[in-house]
Amino acid sequence: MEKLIPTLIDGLNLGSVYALVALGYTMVYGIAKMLNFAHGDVIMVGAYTLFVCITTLHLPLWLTFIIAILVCSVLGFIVEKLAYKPLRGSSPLAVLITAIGVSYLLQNLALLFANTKYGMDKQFFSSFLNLGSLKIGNVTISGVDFLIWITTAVIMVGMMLFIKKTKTGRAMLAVSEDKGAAQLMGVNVNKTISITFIIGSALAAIASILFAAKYQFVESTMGSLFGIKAFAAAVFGGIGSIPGAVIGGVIIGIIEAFSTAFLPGSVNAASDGFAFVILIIMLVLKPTGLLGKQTTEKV
Amino acid sequence: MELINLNDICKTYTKSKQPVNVLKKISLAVNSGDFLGIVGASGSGKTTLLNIIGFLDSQSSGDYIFLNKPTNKLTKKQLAKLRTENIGFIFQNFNLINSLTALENVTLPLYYKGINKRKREAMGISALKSVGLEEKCNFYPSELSGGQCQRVAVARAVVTKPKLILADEPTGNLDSFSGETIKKLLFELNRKGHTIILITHDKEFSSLLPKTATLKDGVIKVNS
Repeated sequence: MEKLIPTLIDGLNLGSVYALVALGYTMVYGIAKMLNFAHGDVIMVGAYTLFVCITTLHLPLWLTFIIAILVCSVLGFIVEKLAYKPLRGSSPLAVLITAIGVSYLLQNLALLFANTKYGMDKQFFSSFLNLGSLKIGNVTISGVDFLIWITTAVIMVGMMLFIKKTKTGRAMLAVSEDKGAAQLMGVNVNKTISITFIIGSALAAIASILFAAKYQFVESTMGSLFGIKAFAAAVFGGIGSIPGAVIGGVIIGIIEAFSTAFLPGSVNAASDGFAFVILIIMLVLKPTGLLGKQTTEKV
Repeated sequence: MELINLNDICKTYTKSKQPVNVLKKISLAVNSGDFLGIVGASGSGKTTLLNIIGFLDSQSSGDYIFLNKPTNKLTKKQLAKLRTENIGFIFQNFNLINSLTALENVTLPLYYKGINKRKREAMGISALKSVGLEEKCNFYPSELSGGQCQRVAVARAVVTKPKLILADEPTGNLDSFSGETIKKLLFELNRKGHTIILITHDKEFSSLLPKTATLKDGVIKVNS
């Protein structure tokens, strides 16, 4: 019983980071109608950027965060322009394969960089964000935990307001529902897709900051499993839905934390798989995901 | 004043490595204030012609003069600007954004013209009023009937006060009562000075139009 609250806190931390990455998946899918499997690797690039800025360049923390967000945003923009834009109108399979290719390219470039520079690709951060902690009864909640939860909640609300209230947000909404009509209403579709990639990548950079602050490591392959879990979270919540991505992320994180903490040792090694089992059950019961909308295609 | 002048417009697609001539030497002049119906069987090239007129597609050969200016050498960006500034579209399936209210849908094109919120809303309400839907401003498309959705789409097409309205079977998806309402609305817009080009399969509707053009196997015949 004494493990319950700490496990829940672990689940919320993990889930919040998944949620931020799932937001990028859901936005890009909603607007560009493509699965950007390289999105998880943007987190890895963000984490390496942090590592280099903090441990090698010894830059101030605030500058490090800004650099990580800028690097990921520019990366998202370049990947969209070079790899995906030329394939606009191609078959979804071609785009999917390209996304997988970009994912492996980023991983291998990171591996090459880390091996050359540091000798091995898995690197550990020293604790770079110390925000104290709060003790309630027997439970200790760290400042970083609070930071992760508050950041995710603020970003979710901020994104919903951004989409509903701003000119760019409405363009994203219009493009996601009807690209052709949006274009005729004066929306610049290509620019809107680029902005979506930039925002999604910036959110992945924020996720990498929170992840590195909490778990304090980086490795070249961290993005692929992370990305797949975040994608599962986006599908679980209903792909295309912003609150759905956050709820899906938190649920997947909590399931993973509980299966690691409470299942017997021989089974909990497979804890990564439990989230996917729940996802499959969810999709059988509600194919559109938790908050996804049923769309009918007129023929 | 001449709004559109098409001169020997041809459109050729390649299908299974074979050229298909969809439009063959189309010449057509449309003056400001005209109400032209384009009729013809399915596959005769009507939508391709409307897409070329609306700068959504380009011709394989021939000249297109819009507002006395040749458009052949304009870039995609310049054509998009010409389109947003001068043309309003109405589609068979309404193509409204479901997560925006009727007023938000109507004001969407004004947003991207840089018009401020107050003016946008005033213009949007006035456009909805002109189609008799001012009391439905805050309704979402899912809360409106097909006919009402199409009236919102008409309001959206006219809110920017375009010189030309292009409509692709605007009554094709409506029951006869709603269809009549849209027809009356289009005639009223034409009376107010809007130039309209529409595609229709409705023979009764086309018989009421002052000018029609029949497309058959890519060849046009104008009947006044």
